[in-house]
Amino acid sequence: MSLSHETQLMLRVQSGDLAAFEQLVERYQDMIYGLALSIVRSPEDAEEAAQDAFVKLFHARGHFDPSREVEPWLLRIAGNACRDRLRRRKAHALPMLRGEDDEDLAQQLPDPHAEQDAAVSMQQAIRIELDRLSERARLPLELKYLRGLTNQQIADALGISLSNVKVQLARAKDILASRLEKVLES
Amino acid sequence: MSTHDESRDFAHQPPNRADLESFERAPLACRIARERMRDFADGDLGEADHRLVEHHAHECRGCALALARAEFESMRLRRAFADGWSPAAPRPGFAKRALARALALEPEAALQAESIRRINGAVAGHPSPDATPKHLVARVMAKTVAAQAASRTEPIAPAHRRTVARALSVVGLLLIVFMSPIWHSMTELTRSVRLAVVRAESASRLNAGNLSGLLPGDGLGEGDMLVLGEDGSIDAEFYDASVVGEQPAAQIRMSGDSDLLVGMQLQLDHGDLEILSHRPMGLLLGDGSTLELGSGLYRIHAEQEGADGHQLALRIEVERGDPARIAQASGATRLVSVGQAASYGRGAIGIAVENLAQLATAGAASGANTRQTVGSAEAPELVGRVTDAYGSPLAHASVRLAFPTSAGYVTRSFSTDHSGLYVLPQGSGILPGVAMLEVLPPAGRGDLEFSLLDAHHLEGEDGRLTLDPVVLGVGAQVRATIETGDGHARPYALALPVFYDEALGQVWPWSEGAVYADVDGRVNLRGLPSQLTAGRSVGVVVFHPDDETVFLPLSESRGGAALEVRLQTRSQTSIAVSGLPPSRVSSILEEVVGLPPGLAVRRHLVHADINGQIASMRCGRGRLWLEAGPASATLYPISRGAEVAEVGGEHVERRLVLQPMQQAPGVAGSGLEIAVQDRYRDAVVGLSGGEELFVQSPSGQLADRAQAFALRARVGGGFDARFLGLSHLGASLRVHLQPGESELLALGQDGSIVRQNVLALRGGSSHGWLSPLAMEYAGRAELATVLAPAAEVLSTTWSPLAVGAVGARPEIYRVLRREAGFAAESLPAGDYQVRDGQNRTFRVRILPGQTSIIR
Repeated sequence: MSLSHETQLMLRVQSGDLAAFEQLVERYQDMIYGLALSIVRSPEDAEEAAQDAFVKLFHARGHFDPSREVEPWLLRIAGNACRDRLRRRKAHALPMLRGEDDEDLAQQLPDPHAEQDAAVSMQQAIRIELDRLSERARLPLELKYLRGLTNQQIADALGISLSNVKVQLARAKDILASRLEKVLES
Repeated sequence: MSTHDESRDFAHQPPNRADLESFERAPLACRIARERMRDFADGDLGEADHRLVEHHAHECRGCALALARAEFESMRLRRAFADGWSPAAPRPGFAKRALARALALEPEAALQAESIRRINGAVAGHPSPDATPKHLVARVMAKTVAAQAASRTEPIAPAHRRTVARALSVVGLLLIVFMSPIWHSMTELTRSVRLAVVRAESASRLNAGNLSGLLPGDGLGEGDMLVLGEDGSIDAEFYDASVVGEQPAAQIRMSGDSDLLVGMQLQLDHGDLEILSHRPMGLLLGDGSTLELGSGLYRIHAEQEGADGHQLALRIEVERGDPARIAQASGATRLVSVGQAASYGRGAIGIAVENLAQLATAGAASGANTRQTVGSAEAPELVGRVTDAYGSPLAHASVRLAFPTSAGYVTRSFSTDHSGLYVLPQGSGILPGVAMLEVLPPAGRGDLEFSLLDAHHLEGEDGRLTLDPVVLGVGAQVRATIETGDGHARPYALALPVFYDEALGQVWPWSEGAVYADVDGRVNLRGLPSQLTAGRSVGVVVFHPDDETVFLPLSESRGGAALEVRLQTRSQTSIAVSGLPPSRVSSILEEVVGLPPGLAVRRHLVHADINGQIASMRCGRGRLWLEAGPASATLYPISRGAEVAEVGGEHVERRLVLQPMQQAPGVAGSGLEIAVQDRYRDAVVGLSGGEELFVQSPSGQLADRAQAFALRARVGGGFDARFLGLSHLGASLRVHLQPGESELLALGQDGSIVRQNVLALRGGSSHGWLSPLAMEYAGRAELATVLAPAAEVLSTTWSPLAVGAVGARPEIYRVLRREAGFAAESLPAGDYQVRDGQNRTFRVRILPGQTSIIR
């Protein structure tokens, strides 16, 4: 069986080839940075989290199993690095106004559409509704449609099963569709 | 056949939940297909399932409808996310920073890598620099810390780009990119740490077993070793990969029996290194300790000790500037301030810090500490002033100044004091000549004009240099009414003032001056420069979702009197595009009409269907480019085809069919053409009336220190190139052409090549150094290796027997190095396989008088 380019790079990293590590970082940096940006929502934290992920990958190179692919492993490391960073940040942050399931709270907030121009476009409406989604619903959507990750990659990054990703995506789309219907009706 | 009755034309309708709910009543085949439709629309189905859904949708109209809606839903989501989205990419130099962090925690990995490199080098026939144990001593890996920390040294143009980015966020649904960052990222991709030689004595470059002498203007890149003889010395500029096109991160001086390996690691094998650092810089030492330098002058002496040659003895002196900080892997840290020296190793337990003044006193008798430093302290200082039109000083005005030094141009930012003064202190190294200056009025003085980046002569001699006071008068005021093509007011459009320099081919958007039109389409622009130098013009780019993006020039106005103008916009047309990446959101860049090609583009985010087509996209008349990949690495031109149809109405909406150029795998002709037009658009060569040559970058990146040559054609093809000197920002290189020399050539440090006919330059030059004719960009280099038919391998570094490429279309030469310049000989006719700097290979056919890429 021929080894993938990424696996070959990782094997070279294992043997101490730093240029190969740089190549590996360059190969994945946009994907990992994009993932981090979606999770931690701040360019500075995203870069730090992405760097953490690659540093962890480097230090864990001795555990690399060439019979498995690099990418899922890296995505898992990156997802964990992002969550670590979020935890650290949340520990220092004020309590958040909006939680995971914030439908009730959202209803108490002023209606974001009340002052909207009647001519607001559908695209803008979608953006608004996307922003109103809970983090759990928004993140898979964003990773899929903005970052271009596949379902499997999302599963790897978020540490959940493939079927769970599909369920979450479908649920988020249904919530979105239902809210958009209300927008259209109004 | 379909069991669902659908008579409506659904192609342009939003999804209807009722249709999706009919799923419950559908037959089994439909249910199976519909369960997979979302995955189908997202491109997540396997081949078999994909075929199943596709086949079923062909047979069943109801499911075809459901599938179309699933695709619509997917597309809508992609577009919703795509609006306001900019490609996610970390800052340049990310990989190197990651590596530096990794190695900081695990320094033995660097040692292991170094061993591998040396073994590989030995196998490849490199003379091993550590054949004797006395060499391998200190391993220094350089990385620059946050480019933002270098705010004092930022070049001027990137700041404009940032201000534009701020303006763009206001635009909302539109994303406009000026001086497309694509070009920057493309150059960044190919750059790495390097040294540019300023002065060299008994200095050589060792690479692949070849030892070649170094001359001013030469560059050392990754894998090159700088070797100095016992009486050798060298001054060089150090550039890192993270900050492209800016001034060097540091100036370096080495002397006597020293070796320095350039690359990702700056490895000092033996000797003394003097660093004049311009921005924070971290050095990773071989034993895992780190040495952090700020801006200042530092001397580092490194040598091995111990029988095995693997122990480090380091000494660092901080002569001026920020303190240095040594952090040992064990956790011990010491700060070394100005006037102090730290010893580390050589019997010292931990880090010993001593007072330099005491050392100097003690060593005066023995003549120690008498070396000349990089950047002479004898350089005169500069005093400049900013006033209003009445001569009153303006405090808190922002001044950006690029001034000449012996080591090239350096940029500094100031805020004026209460006397309206800004002062460059002693030791800055400023020299008489031409400075570039930009001045913005204080906050809250929007009525005042600002002074665009322009050249100013530095007056004075030893002692003090001065610049003429900058007077910020009352800014010009323009009252504009924005109208549609049929004369109706266009409310709420955003008007962004833009300055265009015809000579330099530069665009400066002024985001602070951007204003929205009121309900009657009226805007009031204030604070514009009241006078513009020749070749510069001011205009407005009007943004509105329904209009094409056009640069509308304003006629010149004087300060005080408001100019009344009418700006007429033009509706976008609807076009169809084919040949795009299927089922993907793509970026189509549209060049802003009214400006020369390539200066400003508007980004359209589009979603192609499964056939790679867009039925309807709205855009203007500008040239279109397909941007491939979020990293913006490649652009493909989209050519407009014939008009197919017209639809009615007062405003005729034309439907055009766009046919993208064929995207051949690897490098196609189109790829090379783009590279020529965009990537290598890095330098302008011009001749002023006074025969002064300058090389200037229209994209804001300074093509500083490019090598300039005069070319004389050779009989039978090729040319002789005579080295004229290094360019600086601004004109500083006086040219005296010799008979037969008909062209000028500049080689940028990034490998770019610009070539121009002298007659064409002379024909249009009349306005002093800053106003030559902009030239045709005609260069491409970076053909790393050419494999001749006989498999002869030639290298392209400018060393003996090299191959380069010049010209809007590839021209490949065998290059012979001469003492001052080089000779370029044509290669024999035949087909060649060429690899470029991005490791892409393509075939080139050379015939007498014609070189072309063949598929």
